Amino acid sequence: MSISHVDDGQLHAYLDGELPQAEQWRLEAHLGECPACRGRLEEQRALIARASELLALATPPARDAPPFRPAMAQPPPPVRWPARQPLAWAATVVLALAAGWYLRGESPSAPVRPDRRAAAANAAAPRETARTVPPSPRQTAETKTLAQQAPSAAQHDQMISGSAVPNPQITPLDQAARAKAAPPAPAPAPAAALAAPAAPLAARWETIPWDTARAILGVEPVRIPNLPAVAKRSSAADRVVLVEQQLASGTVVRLQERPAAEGAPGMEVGASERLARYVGNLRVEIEGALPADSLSKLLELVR
Amino acid sequence: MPEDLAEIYRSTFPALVRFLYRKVWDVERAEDLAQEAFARAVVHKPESARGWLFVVAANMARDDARRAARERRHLTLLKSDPASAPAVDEAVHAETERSRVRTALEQLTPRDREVLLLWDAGLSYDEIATQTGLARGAVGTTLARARRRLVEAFAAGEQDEHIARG
Repeated sequence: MSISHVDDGQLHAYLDGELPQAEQWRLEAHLGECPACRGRLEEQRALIARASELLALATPPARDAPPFRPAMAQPPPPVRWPARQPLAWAATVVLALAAGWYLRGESPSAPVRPDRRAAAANAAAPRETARTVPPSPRQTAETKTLAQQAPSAAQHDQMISGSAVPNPQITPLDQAARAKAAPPAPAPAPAAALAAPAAPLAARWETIPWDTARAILGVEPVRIPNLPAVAKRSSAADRVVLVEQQLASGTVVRLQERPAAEGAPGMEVGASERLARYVGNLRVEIEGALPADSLSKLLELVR
Repeated sequence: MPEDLAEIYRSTFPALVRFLYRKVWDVERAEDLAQEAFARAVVHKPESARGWLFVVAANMARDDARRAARERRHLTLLKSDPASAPAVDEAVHAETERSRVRTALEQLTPRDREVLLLWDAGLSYDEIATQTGLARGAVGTTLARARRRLVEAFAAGEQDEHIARG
């Protein structure tokens, strides 16, 4: 069998390494005895190289392939949000609102400052003057010993502001004592002073371990996820648990919870900047700047 | 299958982007289309995924080009030429070369162009034959013609520009 000459298609297939074995042998045999076809082979080799070169010019800038996501075609699976998730969403709303309020410089409740301790000390003097009741002789007598407890009293202020410093031995007396012990502050801190009327609810409550709160309620206490929470109770006999969470400086969310069998806890609504509603057995209270409709929305989500 | 596909993704994604880029001439668009092609592969689980990917991608690029053409028509009146930022010579040169290759590629017949781009994307003659419907023996011939035309068209383009510059 004699091959006249090979066509370009065969030469390209040969050079591309795509010629079937048998054809390859025949082609090579022909090339061995045909200088013209050998010349054409080199031409085509150059042509292929040139074409590849040109195509390479039209190459996009090298970029890393994004990671393979096998699920990318499928619609995202329906997400089953945990029951409290809406609350977390609402928390960010609250946070934003509180920040806005704070920036206006009209923070109605005590802003949390780095020098909280100093603020507490400064606040003590004006608070004392605000309280028109003169100190009783007994208080005056005890001033000296109680004064030593002043630092712990300052810590108590921290607890009111929402941080988790357990201090179960706080009595109203301590506050009076701190007032006495504090050096007279020439510059009153009105914001801190305002904390006093907002505080009584929390002041009566002692911090308890989370496990204890869980034991009282029989279930995991409700809380906003991903936010530090402090559990409190008013006395060992009381079965109402207060979960306190600070959203932002000046905004504290308090959830009053009690065992399901015992119904909703009845507590007074405090200062005007504090909003409280009931969701089933859950009393939700938000201290700080938050429009009532935002709270309604939050409560709707909790429901 | 997903694991095979993940492997194909690793080995083929850049080639698929390159392939698509030479159709849509926009890297990000090319990458989007490549992703989309893989997304469809995940759903359809085709027999020979690699070849299938290129065919699907080519179709998507065609649809994309049609849509882009429509949008261009609509936007013609609104269009304002962005002031061309002073670019580095090298980048300008690369861009010029790219557009020359593009012009040259556009002078090929759709079939020749497709076969050339598929080969350049790493598909075998068998895969190209399966995906384009060509006889396997015709792939080499088609490639030979496509390459020659590309090289000639590019050279002709350069020639024209030299003449135009005087």
